[in-house]
Amino acid sequence: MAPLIEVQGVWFDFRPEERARTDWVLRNVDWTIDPGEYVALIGPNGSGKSTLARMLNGLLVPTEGRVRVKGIPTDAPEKLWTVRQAVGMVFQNPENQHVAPTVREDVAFGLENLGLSREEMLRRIEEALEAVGLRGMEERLVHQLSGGQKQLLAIAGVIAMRPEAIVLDESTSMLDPAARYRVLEVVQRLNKSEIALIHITHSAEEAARAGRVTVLDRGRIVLDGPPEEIFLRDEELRHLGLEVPVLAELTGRLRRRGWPLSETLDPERWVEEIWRLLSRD
Amino acid sequence: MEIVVEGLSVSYQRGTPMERDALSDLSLTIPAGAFAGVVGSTGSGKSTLIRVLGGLLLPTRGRVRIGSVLITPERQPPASFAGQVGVVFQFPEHQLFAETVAEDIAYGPRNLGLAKEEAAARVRRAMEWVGLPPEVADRSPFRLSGGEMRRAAIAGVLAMEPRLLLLDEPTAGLDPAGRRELMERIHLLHRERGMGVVLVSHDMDEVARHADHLFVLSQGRCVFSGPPSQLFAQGERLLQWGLNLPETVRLIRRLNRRLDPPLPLDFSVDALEEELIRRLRSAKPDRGSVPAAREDGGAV
Repeated sequence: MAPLIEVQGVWFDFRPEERARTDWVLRNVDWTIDPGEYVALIGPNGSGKSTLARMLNGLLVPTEGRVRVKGIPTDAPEKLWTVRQAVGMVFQNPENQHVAPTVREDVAFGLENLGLSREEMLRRIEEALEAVGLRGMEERLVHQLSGGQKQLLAIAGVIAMRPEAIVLDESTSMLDPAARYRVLEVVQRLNKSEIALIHITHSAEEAARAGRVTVLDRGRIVLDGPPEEIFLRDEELRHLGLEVPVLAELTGRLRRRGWPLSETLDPERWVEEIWRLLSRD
Repeated sequence: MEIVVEGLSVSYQRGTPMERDALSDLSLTIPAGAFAGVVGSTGSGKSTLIRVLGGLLLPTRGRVRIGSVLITPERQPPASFAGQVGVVFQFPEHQLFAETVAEDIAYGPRNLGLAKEEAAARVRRAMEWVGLPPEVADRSPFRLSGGEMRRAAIAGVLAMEPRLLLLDEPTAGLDPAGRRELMERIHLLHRERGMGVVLVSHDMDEVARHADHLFVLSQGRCVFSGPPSQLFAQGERLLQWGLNLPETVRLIRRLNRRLDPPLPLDFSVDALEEELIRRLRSAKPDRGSVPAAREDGGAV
């Protein structure tokens, strides 16, 4: 399977000629995202997460190295539109990602450059709003939506473009728990329909839902693997200032004290294991 | 300073078809010097409550008493109130404005009419409280990292040396280490200086870790007040209020479906670890000896 996104030997800095390479924002990053993959990208503030995210659809281009989306280099200006269509971004702040007064017009905005027929546009808008659960709100004013609804609308704007990957850059961090849950539910359903998901988050619990977790620290990838494997390195992650799911932390502590728990982040299985150890059989 | 809120309502866009109540007939009491947590979903009225308690928004109906100061629809707090009650808004770093960090932090104390030397002493203290190194004092606040900007903005409020600190989502957007450190530092000021704190947040883990009195707002009303353990026992009602249980509590609830006797819901991760080890050892004394030996030999 050909990778969807390839990041190869990427170095980046906003002022490369003024700063020592050891201080650059990204330092020799190699990273690959396969079609349909669900990857969480975590790391302390200033580790380069958002910069790396912006590399994935050509919002930023590497100072050195190369990023390819479906084989297309992101620094080829004539193909930039294809790259942006394939990889959509949803940002942190729900307040400043919308351009049109109404819900329908906001989703339509991105489509206007695709040269679609009016019927096709309307169909896509309908489908996208349906997918995020905003059908029936087409005429609502964007500024009257809640924060969670605004993020869902941003996602609708992205999926109307029929992307192959969605990058969520801390898109849930300003939402309350109910809205956060709703957004996660929507993107995970999209992921099941083969759209790759790259989720940047500070929440260990959210990251643990992904199929793979990549940890960035001072511009380098320091860990990359399945969540069970990454989060059981609880001491290492804490040392980086990162959060660990409570379950992983307890498993780490109990294992270090000699209790044979397996590597799982599934609470049901975990409780089952504890219970077995506790029963005198 | 004790806070007593009685029948407080706040309406926005009054007299228009858009009129809506952000708070309706809200009553609550926060004991003097407490660390109170206010939780609730978006739109529940948390930020409005902070604005009223900070004297920045007058009630539409009802009254608020903070210490000896009374706030009613007709009665604004006196000017001296600003020196006693500090308000940290969401993303307070957006309000940084001065050329240097020290000048920015000194702005409040200077407005209180303090002499230059006293103001400078307060700037130094406030920087220490929030963990900013002295050498950033002469730097532009806009050259600081995001986390440092947040701390500089909060230092500006702390430099007023308020007896009551109101915080609206103070850690939003910070990374886990930054969040933890900031809250630990505020908690320390609460303990050492007896500063009352009202923390508004939708991060239940954070609120549960620090606050001793919790209030839940839902649709502009106070629907719960009590200690954290009592709130966690509310189960499904929390979801109706748009709240999530802290991660540790959710895990304990799952364990309790199997464990007898059940574990207390307000256990910390440390307490949970020790209790599980204790039960594991008494369940499997034969096995308990092996881990004990490894434990003495240091972590694996």
